[in-house]
Amino acid sequence: MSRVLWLDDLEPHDATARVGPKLGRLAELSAVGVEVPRGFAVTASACAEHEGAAGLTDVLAAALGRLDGTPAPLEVSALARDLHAHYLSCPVEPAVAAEVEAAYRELVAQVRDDVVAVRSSALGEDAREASFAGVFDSYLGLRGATDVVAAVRECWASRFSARALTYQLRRPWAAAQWMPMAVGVLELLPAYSSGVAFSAHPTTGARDRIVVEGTFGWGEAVVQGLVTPDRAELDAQDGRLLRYGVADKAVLSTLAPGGAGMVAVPMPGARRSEAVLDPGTLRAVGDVVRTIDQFYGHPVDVEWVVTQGPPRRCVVVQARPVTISGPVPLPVWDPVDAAMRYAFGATRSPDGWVR
Amino acid sequence: MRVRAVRLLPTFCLTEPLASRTTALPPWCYRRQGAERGCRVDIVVPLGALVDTPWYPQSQGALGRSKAAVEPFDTFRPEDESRLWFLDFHWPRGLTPLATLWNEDGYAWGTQLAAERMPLPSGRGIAQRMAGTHTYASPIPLPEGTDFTARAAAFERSLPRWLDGFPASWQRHRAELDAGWDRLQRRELRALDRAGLLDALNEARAYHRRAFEIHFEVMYPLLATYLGFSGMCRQLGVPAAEVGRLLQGYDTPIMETDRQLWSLTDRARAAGLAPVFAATEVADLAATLDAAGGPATTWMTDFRDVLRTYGWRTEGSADVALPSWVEDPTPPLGLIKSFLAQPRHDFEAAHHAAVADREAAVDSARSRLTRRETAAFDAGLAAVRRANFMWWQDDHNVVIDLRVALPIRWVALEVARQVGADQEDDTVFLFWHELVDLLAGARRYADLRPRIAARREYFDRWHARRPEMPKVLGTVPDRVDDPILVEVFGLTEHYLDAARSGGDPEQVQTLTGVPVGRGVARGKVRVLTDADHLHLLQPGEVLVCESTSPNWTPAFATIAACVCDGGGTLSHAAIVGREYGVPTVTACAIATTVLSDGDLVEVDGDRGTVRRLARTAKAS
Repeated sequence: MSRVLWLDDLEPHDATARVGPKLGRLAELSAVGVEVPRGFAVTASACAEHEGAAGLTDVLAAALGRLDGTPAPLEVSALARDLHAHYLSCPVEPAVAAEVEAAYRELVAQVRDDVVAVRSSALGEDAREASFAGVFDSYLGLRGATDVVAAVRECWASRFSARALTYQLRRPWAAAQWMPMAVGVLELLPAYSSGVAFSAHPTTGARDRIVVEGTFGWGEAVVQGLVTPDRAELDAQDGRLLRYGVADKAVLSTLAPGGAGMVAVPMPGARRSEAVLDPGTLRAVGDVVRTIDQFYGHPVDVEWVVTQGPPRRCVVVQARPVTISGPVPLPVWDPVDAAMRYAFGATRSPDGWVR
Repeated sequence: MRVRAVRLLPTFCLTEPLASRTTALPPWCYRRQGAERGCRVDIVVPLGALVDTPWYPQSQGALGRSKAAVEPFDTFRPEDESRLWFLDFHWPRGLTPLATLWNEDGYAWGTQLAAERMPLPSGRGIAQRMAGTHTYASPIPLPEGTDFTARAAAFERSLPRWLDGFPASWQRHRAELDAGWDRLQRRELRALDRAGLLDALNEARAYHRRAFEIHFEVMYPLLATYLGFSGMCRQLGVPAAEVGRLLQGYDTPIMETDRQLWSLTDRARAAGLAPVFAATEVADLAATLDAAGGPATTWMTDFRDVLRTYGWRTEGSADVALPSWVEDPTPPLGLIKSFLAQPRHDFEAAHHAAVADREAAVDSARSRLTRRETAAFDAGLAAVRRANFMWWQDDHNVVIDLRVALPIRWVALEVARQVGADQEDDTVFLFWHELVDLLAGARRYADLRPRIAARREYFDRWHARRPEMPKVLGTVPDRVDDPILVEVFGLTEHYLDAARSGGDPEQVQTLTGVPVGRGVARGKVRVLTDADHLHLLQPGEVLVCESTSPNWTPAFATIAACVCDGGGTLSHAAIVGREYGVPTVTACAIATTVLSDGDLVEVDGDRGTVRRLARTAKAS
């Protein structure tokens, strides 16, 4: 079994099965012409190899046995603390570490930049029935082979945080095994702007509206809730800009000096209230979101980066299906329907109008 | 939680001592609240003495003679305290006995019949109670156990057909109303004996009743369609305040009258009559101009010619006590006097501005909609433009509200003349059945004379009490769901809150209402209680009133802003404020109580606020 798989080498049809949906989708999107970061996956079998060699397999199996039934939250968090600490005390199996280091050096040579992102991609994560968004760790802005290997181990270990444990125990098949995990090592794109985009309206569910949010630089400050992004709404059919809200973007995410991740610094004054989503960005992001929605045949949310140029490129770093509750009726003018709803406060039931 | 269902059930209520109240309430109110925590709290404004207050002297037997479709017109009864009653702003003067024909034919017949025939899914029309001479209204709920779904299904069948036929059916109705009007207006009453007058009276009454059948048969579906469109717009993210703008800028006969008055103003100025107008009291204008000879006589001939076409309107809605401009030209002469004192209102400019603003509002709404949404929006807009409530609101007033009571009035005045009454309008202080009896010879004027005098006194007493009449009575929820009450009568949460708490002029600095006419303006306050004092308005003043009706329209050419106690986005002031581009805020509930003549205020018609900047020296 391969320890490392390059995204370029993955076949779309089994990419998700091999490296988890987070990385697998990038391979799928790349195949339909969406630009994604270059990089590789450290496979779940590399993780298993490491755990076997470090004697972790038995420890983890025993832990799983202790969590039979419905354990109390305190019990879960105590176990998580122990497991997590123990996991991080075990050095990475040298054969695995060597291969990750070699792949990292190859990636650095390809992209001519040594800063990368290390992202968890649990197999089965983001499945429709159980979304694990944000449960497992990701590290942005790492530099150097040693730090990358350490971050891969952190990602593996993040399966044993109290929160991750709780999530995993909810799944019907949790009793059988711990969730296998691949880890992506991806180029960190030099971001002019970043953000998220939804191919359907995230609150109303309307399918004819695309919502784009963004800020200058990397999106970390938005993800952490340190900054409110600008927000634009587009017509999903023709990409026309329908609304734009400029936010006061007080904070900028930037690389920490020395490649130690991301830090938040004050946004340069002039940029705080400058519209970040220019027409070119909106066109590119709108197009890419529509392509992905059509490809999956399902509403999606997408994390995007527009690179510092020239030329500026729109790159998708993540895409996820969005859960929308029930089909949203298309707006249609029907005088009876409108009057019943809005003049008389009635709703339509299978048996007719009710109040 | 479905609070609605339990809100009006008296069994769950408990009364709270005033000491535990959380917000200021006037001492006569108490709270009533659900046993469940978090349940909505109703405020009860007790009917108190209004239940036992004697009505018009010798009014026994006056009620219950007229057919009501659902619930007859009445005075307050103790059990009415469980319902919400709001002071009807259409009749700020109060109603004389004969004028209560409006209550019988308009509300108890017109609204209720239309609501039942259509049928209106939400209720059965409007009930009303008299407190002295003042009318309180309340929506009639569907009775317990009504099959709402079946009622809605019937509405579902009737509305599309009605909408399809609307422009043609309104033309037919208008033709019917015009034909009836022509017949009644041409009748030479002086030549008739009592029997002939009785026939004329009955015919005038039938016309009156029929006019209100038409009024509400048309109003409810127009309103339902507008509210549906407005709701869809809200759903599409078009701000509520913009929806009214989408329908403005369509000419109505009321505006045509205003143009005629300005044209007469131009001619008066050209004839050198401005100094005469300036030097003469409004009440003396007609006599002075008639006596002046020369150009004044020519001008008065022109003036009367214009009135013969445009002067069949009263200074208030559907009230037999009010003369038309033809009978008493003081109001239009007063308006012309005030127009002469200010720069000419540019109707074409205002009209073009209203049209441009409408098109800008449409473009702005469309620019924020997706193509699919735009298709729905455009279809809805086409429908509400074809059946345009805003336009109809003004159009119908000319053929119904402003002239419908005149034929009855004329017969009543002729009866008064023929019996040698002390005052020419004595008969409007009779109830309908008394007037009929008088004509039929069953009663003699001499026997009725004492009660007429007593009723005049009663009317005057209650007229003086108008400013202190509570805006709401009975059980007042903190929110009303019926969009008709919200959009037409302006019963918003702010309104209910302000109406319940009353207004202390010392405390209240800012009023909040419904923003209906765009822009911000400052000016000195002029509080008007009814249209009789319209000529007091000085150019640049802020008109503060209970509400406006069509006869107030010309004033919008002179005022800086308008503030009303009542009325929602569909009220007269809202519509005219938009057409004239006058910053207007309605549904402030307590503006006439809190503000005084001479106060300096800033009216923000975009945000719906009225801020007092300085109080008049007199009041402080």
